[in-house]
Amino acid sequence: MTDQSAPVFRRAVIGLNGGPLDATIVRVTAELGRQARAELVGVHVVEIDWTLPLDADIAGRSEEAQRVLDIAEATAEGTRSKIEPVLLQARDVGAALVDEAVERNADLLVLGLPYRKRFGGDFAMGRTIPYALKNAPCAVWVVREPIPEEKP
Amino acid sequence: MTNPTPPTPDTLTPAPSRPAADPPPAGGPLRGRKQADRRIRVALDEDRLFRYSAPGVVTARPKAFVPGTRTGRLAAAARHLAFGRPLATEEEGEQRLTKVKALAVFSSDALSSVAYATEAILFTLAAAGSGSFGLALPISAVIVTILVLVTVSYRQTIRAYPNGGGSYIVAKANLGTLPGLVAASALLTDYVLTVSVSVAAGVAALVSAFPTPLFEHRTLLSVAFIALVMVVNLRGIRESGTVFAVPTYVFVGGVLALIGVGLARTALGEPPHVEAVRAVAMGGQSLGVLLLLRAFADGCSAMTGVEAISNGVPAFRPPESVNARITIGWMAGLLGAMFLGISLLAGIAGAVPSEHETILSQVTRATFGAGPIYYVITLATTGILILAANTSFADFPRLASLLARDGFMPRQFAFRGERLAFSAGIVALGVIASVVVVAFHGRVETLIPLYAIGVFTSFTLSQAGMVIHWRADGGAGWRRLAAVNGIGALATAVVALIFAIAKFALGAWIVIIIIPLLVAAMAFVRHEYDRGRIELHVKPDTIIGPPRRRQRVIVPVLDMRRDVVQAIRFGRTMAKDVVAVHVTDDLEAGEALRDRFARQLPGIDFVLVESPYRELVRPLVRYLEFTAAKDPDEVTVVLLPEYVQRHWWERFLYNQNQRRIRTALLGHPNILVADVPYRRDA
Repeated sequence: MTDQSAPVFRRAVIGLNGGPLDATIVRVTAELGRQARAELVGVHVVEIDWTLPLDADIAGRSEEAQRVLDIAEATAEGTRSKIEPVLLQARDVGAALVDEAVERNADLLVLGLPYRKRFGGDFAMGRTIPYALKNAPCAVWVVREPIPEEKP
Repeated sequence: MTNPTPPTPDTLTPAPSRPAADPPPAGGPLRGRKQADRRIRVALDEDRLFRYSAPGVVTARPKAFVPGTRTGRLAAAARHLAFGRPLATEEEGEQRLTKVKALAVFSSDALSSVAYATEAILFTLAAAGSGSFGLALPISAVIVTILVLVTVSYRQTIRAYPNGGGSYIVAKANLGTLPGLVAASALLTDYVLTVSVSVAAGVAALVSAFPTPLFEHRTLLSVAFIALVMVVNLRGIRESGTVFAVPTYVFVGGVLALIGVGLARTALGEPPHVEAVRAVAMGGQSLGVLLLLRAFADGCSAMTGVEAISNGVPAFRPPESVNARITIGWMAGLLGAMFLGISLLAGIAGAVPSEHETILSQVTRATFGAGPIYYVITLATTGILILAANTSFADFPRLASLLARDGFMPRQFAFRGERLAFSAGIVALGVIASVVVVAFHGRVETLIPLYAIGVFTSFTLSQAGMVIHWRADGGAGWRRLAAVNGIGALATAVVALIFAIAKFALGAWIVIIIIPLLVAAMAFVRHEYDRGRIELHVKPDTIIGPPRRRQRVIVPVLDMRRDVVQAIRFGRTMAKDVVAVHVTDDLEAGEALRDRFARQLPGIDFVLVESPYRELVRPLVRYLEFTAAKDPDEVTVVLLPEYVQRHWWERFLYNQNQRRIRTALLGHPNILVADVPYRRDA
């Protein structure tokens, strides 16, 4: 018998990729976690190519990375919640997100999934989400955007 | 084999309560769960001034508001110490009020007026001798009747304007702009007088309890209290229900207890009796109609503040309109009971008007003796009267901001300061009310004749506006609703007329002159803003293309200096035609400077303006005007080299000519002036 009065989650890591879904997943997570006063951590990972050292000064100089985190903060504030912004540099986004969630003892990892099709027509999930679904020890929510209407 | 039910969000098991490991500081690589997984946590810049909040939108962070100079930071620190830290717009909490708290917050002005209304009647009747004091009770009864009419009328206003229906809004919406401005002017005048009268009356109550040290300083005390309330409001302490509730309910409870005990003692054959009071000189005037009307008009000061609840409907808890109507009923009931009770007891106890002790103080002392209860009631009276002034400090700036938004007052009144308060309005009210108190020496009885005429004018216009509103609305029962407001408007119009006639010579003429002057001033401001709006208007269908005018740059030069070189180099980025102009009374030195410019700044035209009378600025300005007039299609940009001083006292040593040139060129057609600052450490 599930305890219906138990909080949904206490600490959530939200993966931010700078896409339009970021605001949606921040808002949804913030609203669901508000009652339990859940902590939110917004993580944006800048993938560093293997041709560059891992500590190359890339993310710190990136206006775009700062914008992603700022917009997540503003979205959270719009729901009267607070989100801790975290900027990472890593070789692989999925691994970085899962490791960050583990490090912070998060009980939830939230990711946004744009609706994309591979060349050839199959729905494509990319690499990050299957990695997270397979490896994250905590719960994983994936929020997929609606299927866009096809132009005639 | 059935598929297991997928977990829903509500059934997620929460993580075990392990505390989060402190994330290591940004910098070194963090190891992941797998061998090759590493990541770097990048430190975020906490000193950024702006934050991206949406595509195309940046929000200024608190750091962006910190002054850049040490002097500025010191001034800001002093301001924060006096008024508190700046508040963001989101921090404006919507604290809805219960009926009990709202009664205290919005009715302190109305309820506190019983502290001086009976006294005002007696002061006027004193001209006919103490034998006329018995008329105070019937006069009070007539006033309470009008109070009931006005209350019933305002209950309808609340129903019609659930978002707050001040007299200005109602009159402007239903009667037109001019009546709206008259109502607004009347209200603004009334708010100033509310502060002056309430504070003076509060000080009078205090002086009654502590006459010896305080009597000589009542004007100064009044100004000090006004300043205190002004500072409190600049800090942005708004309708703090608890702050208002305590003195208000202590006052109400005390006065009701006073009336109850006084009447009980009277019934038991031991009526309270006032002793040892220095009465004002009694006159031998006959008790004529004019005197009666004056006494009646003075007593109508009891009705000031009745409209406050209709202005503050949105502050009530839902259902706002219903709760506001109930509260205004409570207020009228309490006000009527206290006013009648004090007038009755004043007659029973033989209270007399005195400059040294208020009527309420005399009656309280006669009923309870000069013990703790007396001091509690006296201090509560002072407290509620000061709070009554505070209501005006909330309403005056709010009304001024509405007028500013409509273009009838300077725009500064529409802006909220660091503490979310309408600072310009608060300061204006504090200063004007202080001037009024000083001009009338802090004496309540001299301020009362000016009081309430503004209130009754705004009552009349508001209720007349409601008649038009119901008529236009045309809903079920509109005739009955319009009739109620119509009777209320008629009653208050009669009172306003009585005021104007009876009190004209005693001071009401000031208000009668001020209101039209204010209306004229507001209309003038609106006219100016309208004119500016028309002149600056860009039609929505206009497409603004690239500029087609040429521009030339002129740089006034004193000598070959780094700030001049910087200005010239900047000018070269703006136009090909850059001219250096040097004004001199020494041609030889001027020619030497020309040679130097030709050698070190090739390609720059150099014009020498000889000034036989040794002036620098006027010949330069004339030359610029002459040059600009040669080709009206060309814009002349004057770049003024500005040497940025490091210390405040250096402003007296540098850039004086630049300031004079800038002032002289202000408003010239086709001439733009810009400063090009040069910093020593650049």
